[in-house]
Amino acid sequence: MTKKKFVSKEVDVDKITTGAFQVRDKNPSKNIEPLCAGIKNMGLLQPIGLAKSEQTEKSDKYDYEILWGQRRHLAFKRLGMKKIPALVLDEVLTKAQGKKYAIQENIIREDMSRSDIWNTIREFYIEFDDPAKCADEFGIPLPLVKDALKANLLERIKGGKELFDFALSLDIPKQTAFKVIDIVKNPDNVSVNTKKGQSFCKILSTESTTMRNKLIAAAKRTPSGEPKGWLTQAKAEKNYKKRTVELEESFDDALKTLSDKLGSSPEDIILESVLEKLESEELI
Amino acid sequence: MKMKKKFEILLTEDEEYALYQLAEKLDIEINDLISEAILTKIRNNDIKFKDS
Repeated sequence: MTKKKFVSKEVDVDKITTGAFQVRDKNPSKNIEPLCAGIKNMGLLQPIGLAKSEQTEKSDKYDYEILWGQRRHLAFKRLGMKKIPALVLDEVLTKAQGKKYAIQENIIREDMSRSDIWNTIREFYIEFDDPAKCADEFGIPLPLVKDALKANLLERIKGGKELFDFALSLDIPKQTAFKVIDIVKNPDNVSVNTKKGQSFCKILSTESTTMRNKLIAAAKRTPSGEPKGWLTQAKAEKNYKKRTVELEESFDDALKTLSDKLGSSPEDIILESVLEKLESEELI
Repeated sequence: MKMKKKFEILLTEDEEYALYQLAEKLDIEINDLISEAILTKIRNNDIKFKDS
């Protein structure tokens, strides 16, 4: 692709249209609120990309078509902002030329954003161990936070890379190895219990895929347990059903305090609460 | 509207059924029943709960 000259300037939000050059299929307004909040707090950190198109040439209303930054433009509109910082190419592009720019920018941004997001949320995440809280705090969409966390899992957990390599040496699939690391994280949230992790890997390596899934489910259910105990549970049954529990924000502080006190995750505490209640009613 | 946060737990079929039975008996939603159970655990551990 020949290099084109983009000029940085502020453009009227209402003079910009979208459609011809877009490469994303997803609904651009989905999860737009966190982006709006971020822009409101910090302004626009990255300018959007614009060029002229066949449509804008025919239009009296629009001057430019969006190459990248459709959601940022939408957020500006939602916020009622009049001008948006942009990199502008004052040339008429065909649909194919425009899409090339859009794809290129999206790929670059995807690669950069993972490490950028991780660097941004690192300290906050280590303190709270809560992706949703990070998303709220920094105005970053939750799926991007989760993606960045996964991508940086090995780097951020002490002993994580060694355990990951150990798992792979036993022919455990990568996805399962990631899950093992997550399960055997120490309460400090920045290191793994290597001995427990290796013991779990050895058990996993001798089991079928179905049993591996049951083992992972048993381990997730009681991460404070031991691999042999998970094996017993997995063999004894068990088809677990996922249940989503919705708690009001007023539970946040108390749950965190209790998590710290007991060295368990909020999910563990919720499960324990349920089981204790059922036991007290003699239903299990 | 109060904001709610989602958590996922894994229950066996027996536990899920027991939960359903208890919710029926008490005539409340399962989610409310779980919230109550958590609240009990929080209070039993002498932790302050700020109800907004």
